[in-house]
Amino acid sequence: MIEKEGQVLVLENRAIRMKVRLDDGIHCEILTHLGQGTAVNYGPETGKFFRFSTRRGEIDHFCVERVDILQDETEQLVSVYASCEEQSLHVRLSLILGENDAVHILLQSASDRECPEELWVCCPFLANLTLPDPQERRYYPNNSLFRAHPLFTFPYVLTDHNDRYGFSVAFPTLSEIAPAVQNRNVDLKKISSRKELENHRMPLRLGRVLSDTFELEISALAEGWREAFAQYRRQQRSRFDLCAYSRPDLQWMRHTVLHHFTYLYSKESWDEKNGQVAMDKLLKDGEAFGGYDTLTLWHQYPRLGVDSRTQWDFFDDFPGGRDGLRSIADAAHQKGVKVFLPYKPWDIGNDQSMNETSDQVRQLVVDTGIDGFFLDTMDSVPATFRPALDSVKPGVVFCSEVHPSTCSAVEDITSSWGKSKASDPIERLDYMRFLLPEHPAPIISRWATGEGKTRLIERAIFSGTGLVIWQDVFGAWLPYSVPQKERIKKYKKIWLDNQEIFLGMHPTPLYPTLHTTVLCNRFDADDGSVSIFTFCNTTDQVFTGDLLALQDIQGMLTLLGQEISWNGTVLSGSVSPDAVSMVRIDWKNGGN
Amino acid sequence: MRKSAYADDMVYVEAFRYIYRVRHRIMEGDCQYDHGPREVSSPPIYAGRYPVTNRQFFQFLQESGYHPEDTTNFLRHWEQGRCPEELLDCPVVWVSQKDANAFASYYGMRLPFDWEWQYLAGGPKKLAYPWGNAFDKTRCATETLSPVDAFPEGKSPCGCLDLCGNAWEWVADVIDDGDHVFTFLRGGSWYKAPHFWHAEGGPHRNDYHLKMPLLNEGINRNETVGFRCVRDLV
Repeated sequence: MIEKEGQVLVLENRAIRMKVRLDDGIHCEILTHLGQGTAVNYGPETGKFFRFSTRRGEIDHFCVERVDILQDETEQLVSVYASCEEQSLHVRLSLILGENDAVHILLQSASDRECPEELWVCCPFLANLTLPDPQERRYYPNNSLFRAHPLFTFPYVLTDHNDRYGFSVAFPTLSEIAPAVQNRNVDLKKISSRKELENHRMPLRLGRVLSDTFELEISALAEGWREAFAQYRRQQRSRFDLCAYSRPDLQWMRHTVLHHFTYLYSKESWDEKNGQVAMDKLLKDGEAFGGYDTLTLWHQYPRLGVDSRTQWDFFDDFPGGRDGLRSIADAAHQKGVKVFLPYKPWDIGNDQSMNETSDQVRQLVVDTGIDGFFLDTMDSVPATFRPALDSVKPGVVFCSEVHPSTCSAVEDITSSWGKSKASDPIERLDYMRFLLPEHPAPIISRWATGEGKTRLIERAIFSGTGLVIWQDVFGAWLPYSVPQKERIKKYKKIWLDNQEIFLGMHPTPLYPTLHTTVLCNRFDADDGSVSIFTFCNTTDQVFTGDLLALQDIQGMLTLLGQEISWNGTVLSGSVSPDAVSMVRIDWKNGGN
Repeated sequence: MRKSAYADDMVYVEAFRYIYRVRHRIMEGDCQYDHGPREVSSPPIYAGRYPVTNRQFFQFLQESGYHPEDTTNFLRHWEQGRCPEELLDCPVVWVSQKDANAFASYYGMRLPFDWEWQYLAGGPKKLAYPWGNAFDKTRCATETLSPVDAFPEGKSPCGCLDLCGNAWEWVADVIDDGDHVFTFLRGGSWYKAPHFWHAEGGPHRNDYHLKMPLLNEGINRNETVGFRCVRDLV
């Protein structure tokens, strides 16, 4: 519903009511969360939808020229046209009620000047959006806990202290590169703190035609961050056709945990005396980790380039040639281990077409019987690869060193490494893990040593992902310690025993805890009957106290860390600063 | 002692002592070796004026009956056991370090160590390139594999030729760091692979070596890697 009475506009859907004034600047006077009945009150300055400025100061003389209220089968729209003659600026502010219960605020602007001076815009309405709760919780779009990914940015979420009611503000845009585009959502998506939010100011590059300047999509929340994240995941997933993830022949990869990067120039895997891969030794050593599920046999880089031989030649020149590789794959298969071979996108020469490359990839599978291709640094895969592989063997998986970075690549590359830095804290998270749980993203930080490796292991546990075991990094021997191997082994067993939970499609990162220094991830079996919570203590002191407010628990089991207890409403316990705690919860009546 | 035509064309190198240091780009991983600066010294030695040629290697095969256990890629550029005529005086390539050692030891020679090779190329002034301190591509083979005597202006202070470009050269070192076995290549080659992630081809400075992890002989033999020999006086 959109109504206009004099200089006042009222917009209302099932979740939000917004009262807008067109006099005294164009501003929001009241934003009401209808479910909760809570109102956010603004003043004429704090509620402004836009404020332009130049180096000489603010531009504050916009005159409303026209207001159009329109409606079709899916949307109700009010467009406010306004101008600042002095600066030759024109804007169109559109407030849109769509079929979902969100309110879209779209600002478009233009300048008549041939050479406009430097110009900035900010949105005081956004900067001053706050709940009447001094302990409100805020989740910023550029969440430093998550490793950046070009496809994903969270909305800005604010909730009450119980993480229940609140608002989610998304910044929809398909553009990523600033300042190459006029749409400044690319800047809003970078906001990572309250200070940045309150002081945001975005440079503009206006043309003569009205163009998108920024767009906010505001939703009301009844279940806080969990709802906002679930909504965000639904939106993001709707961009993809994920049918490849449903293919039965590719499912095996989802059930793997440990992926060994097998640098063949290492004695870890090479029997120099007999000139062959030491498969038995390699797999025996792997038992200390709980057993490798896949091997990625690697012998081209860093040797390629000494002469003109290609990656394909190197497969031929392997001991026993391609038959030798098949023997290795067969030996691994007998132990239940899958084998990847690498594809180097940078070593296809200047005269090799993608069709020829696809033929090579296909032939390699025919010759060796491998189970997957490791795509090295590729964040996308040629369209010809998949049909080429499917024509000779089902179940050949793609795994890339980096996450796919385009929508189509996400659809084709069904697994990729969750790369992280050696210095990353335990709590560093990966978008892919929580947005596309069916996309295995084993964690790796190849240069980690000592405590860095411990953090890497704990990071995998905290996020419920697999691990890439890479001990020989192109000639740098960086082994895991015995306790680290034991920790991985224990975790792998827990993961396998609870696969239906870790493979659930609705995990929640940063599940709201009762203490800000303890972070939590939640994993749920798809039938809702059982969940796992992982806890990370972000301080350097042992935390002891209340962790979560939970009800309807049927039974619980502490899987890692000190015993966690439940008093009927609150989960409590101790969490070490350098090791993740994990608890499994069985819910009453089969689901919470 | 068996005699090779190669041994007839060696230069005498006086005893030497110098501060050895290698600087090279490591893409990723380590090169577990003491790259200096450290003092190295040698008694007088004879050094091959040129790399060993296909013609000389053919003679070796005729005389020694050498046949490697793993023949993968062994002299891959030869046809029916013979080197193409136009390549006879080019450095022999598609030979492994083991093949090179077999040649050298058969004639009472050996491969130079990494630090010896550097002195043969740079001399007592430690020149950056065999001919001086500035790169000059008219003094070395940068476009194709060439006869070993094609660039007389590329002579080093010790009188050795064809050290830079043309074909990489094996050295005697075999490093076993406990986790890997590797050696080094010296001098660079005519071939330059196109991509950043490829091993760095082309001619190289005298104080550069390329770490060469060793695997099976089929991988170890290359179309761009040959060798030269040295002989100890005693």
